[in-house]
Amino acid sequence: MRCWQVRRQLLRYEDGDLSPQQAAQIQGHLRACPACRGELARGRTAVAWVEALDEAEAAPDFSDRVMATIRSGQVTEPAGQRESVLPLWPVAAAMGVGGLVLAAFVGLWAVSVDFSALGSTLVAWGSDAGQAAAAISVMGKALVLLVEAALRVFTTPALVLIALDLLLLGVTLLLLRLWNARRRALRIGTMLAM
Amino acid sequence: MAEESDDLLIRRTLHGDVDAFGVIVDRYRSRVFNLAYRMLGDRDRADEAAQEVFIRAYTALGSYRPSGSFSSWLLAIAANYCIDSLRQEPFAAVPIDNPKAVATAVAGAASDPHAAYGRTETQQLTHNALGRLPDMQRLVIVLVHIHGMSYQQAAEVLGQPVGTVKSHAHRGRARLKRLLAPHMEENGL
Repeated sequence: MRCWQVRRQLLRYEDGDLSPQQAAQIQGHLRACPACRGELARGRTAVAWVEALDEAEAAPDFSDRVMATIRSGQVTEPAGQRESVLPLWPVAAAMGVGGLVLAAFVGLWAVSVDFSALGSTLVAWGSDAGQAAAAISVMGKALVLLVEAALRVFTTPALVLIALDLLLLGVTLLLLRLWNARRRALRIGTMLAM
Repeated sequence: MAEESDDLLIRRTLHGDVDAFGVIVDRYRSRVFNLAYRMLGDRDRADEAAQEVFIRAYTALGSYRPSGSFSSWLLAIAANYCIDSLRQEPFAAVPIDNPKAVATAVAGAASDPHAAYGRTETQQLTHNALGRLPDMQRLVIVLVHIHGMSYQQAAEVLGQPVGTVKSHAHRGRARLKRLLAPHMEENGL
């Protein structure tokens, strides 16, 4: 290898970025070439001087001054804590459950349940223990109706609308999450753009 | 409280415990100040910059995500502030080819009770050679060779690919070598 070829690779050699074969070629040249050895030594010395720079210490009252400024009320309180305290997924789950409950009610409405009869029987159950058996029977019937409603609701146009609504909600939440992540990345990127 | 993790201190701060942020300031003041000093070249500017960095960090604390490293997040704010500041006013360097100016700077540092650095000619020359690097090269050299970060960590702070960071580091080291070579020869190196 020629000197200019070696010198072009010296920093990569120092960082261990060369293949073992390339590193061996550089080592071979360095053994035979005092000028390139000097170049390597000067590079190492420059880095050693940088690494040996004394640590610049802040003034002893630095922290007190920063905290006094923060406590003075002139500094905006940390922003975005609501965002960090309230993650998006529980909100999405709660809205999803709410949507399903709504779907069940739509289903009940679709099969035309006699709510008034069901309600009066339940009231009677609450006031007269003697009618407990009848009430249990009604509760059983209500359960059957709910299951029936759940089955039927899957065939009604209402479900299609609700399902689309939930899908739209999920996609919106996902986009919001991605947008927040991108906004953060852009903020850091912008900070470092130079 | 001094032993608490960064993430716990941040949560406390976000819930209104300002003292918790005081622990963070104490924990990172040296690193932030040192970065600002090596980037800006002047103690007063570095002090002002480091204060502003902590205030910006406090205000933006809600946007920090524990999935990343707080130290990288904080140093990214510091790096950004320094780069912005350098656009308005460049590095306060003493010309390294002017021995009289270097000697004056060394004497000034030696007589300053707070400046426990830059007391030797080599330190002054190295500091000023750093100041003659392009800002990005200097920033990478400071992060890697003064803060002891890996290229990967520096890339995380800068939000740039590792290859780009290495390229800045290599160019910076080559330039430093050229700038400091005459002083090495004077010292028989």
